[in-house]
Amino acid sequence: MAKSWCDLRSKNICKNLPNGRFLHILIIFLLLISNSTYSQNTSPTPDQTSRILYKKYEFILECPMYRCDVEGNKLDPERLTAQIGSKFLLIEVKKDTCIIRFLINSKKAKKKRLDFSDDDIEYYKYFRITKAQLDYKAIPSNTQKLAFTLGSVITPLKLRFSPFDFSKDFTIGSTFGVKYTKSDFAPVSFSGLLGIGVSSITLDSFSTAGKTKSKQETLAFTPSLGFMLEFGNAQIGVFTGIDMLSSTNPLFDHYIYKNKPWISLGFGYSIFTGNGGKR
Amino acid sequence: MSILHIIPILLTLGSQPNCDGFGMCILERESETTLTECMKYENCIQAEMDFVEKELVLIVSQSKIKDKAFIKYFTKENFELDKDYTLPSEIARELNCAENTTIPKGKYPINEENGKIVVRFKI
Repeated sequence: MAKSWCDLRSKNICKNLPNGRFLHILIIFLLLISNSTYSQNTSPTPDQTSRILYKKYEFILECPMYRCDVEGNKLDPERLTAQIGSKFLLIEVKKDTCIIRFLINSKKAKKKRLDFSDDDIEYYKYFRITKAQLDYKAIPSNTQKLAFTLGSVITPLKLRFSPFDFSKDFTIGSTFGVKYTKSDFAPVSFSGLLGIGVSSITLDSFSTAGKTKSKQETLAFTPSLGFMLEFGNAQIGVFTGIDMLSSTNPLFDHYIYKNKPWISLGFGYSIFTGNGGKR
Repeated sequence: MSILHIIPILLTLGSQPNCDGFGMCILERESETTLTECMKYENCIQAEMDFVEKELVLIVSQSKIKDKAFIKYFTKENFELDKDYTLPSEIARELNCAENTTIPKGKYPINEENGKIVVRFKI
């Protein structure tokens, strides 16, 4: 039943719409809004791509290289071999030659000040490799482990308790939160998410403790909290939330799951992830 | 804030007894004689060390370390110790830490602090 939502908004929009039809239009509208919003952020310009995405690399194979200065002039004819798993910054590309320097985790000493005796601070070693080796033996590296994430989730099935029930009262909405990626190689990540959405709620004799005999559908506002495991772009997660009926709904006080959390499995597909350096 | 009192050392990297693999093999105080000897070997580095608040701190300058040693031991996320390493008595005394202080085998994060490579070993 869409009456409660119509009461909150302009009655001119809702008055001619059958209840179920209003629900469908609202859901399609939400989907269109969320998809168009994310798509604005998914296509960085070529300039942004080169600056943000491909600055840090990691060797996935042993790579021959030569010591050089910051301009790429060879300092030593001895061939060296880079270790698998070592990370580096691409300093410059000159024709077929790439100038790199290895990346060491930067840490500012808080408690213990290092009393340096010499003045060679900020000295780095530079090395040169070929462009072909960069392409074949290194991959862009994401050293950022925590990232903001945004997406949409549909929870098609809900488990309710006291009394136990399961229903097809699905929720659709947007989620945001923090995503943790353990390894640059494994396409697995873990997210803690907050969500807001709209739920379709079935009010019948059971869910209203006999206050209504007919079966009717209505909408509810649903804040939720979830944890999600992500494999590539596919996601699976566990969510909990509360379906909040409009207080103008005549069955508001009789809804037996009022302020009671549900649990659901969520399935989703990430459209946009804001970590900038993701491969 | 405590200021560290760093001593110059020479460290031959690798595991005892043959100084191959990863870890610490020979640790000695830097002097003119020991430095000349150390420079003959690819895996011997000039570094600095201190011991404070139950942490042994190894400080390495990129300018002083040989390229091969730098690439093999300091370009990954962690400094690896294949075997436990017990500090020589002379070094332990200079650092004001207990006799037979031992660094347990394991992986220790390599960080860059003020342009230097720093590895902190919790004892």
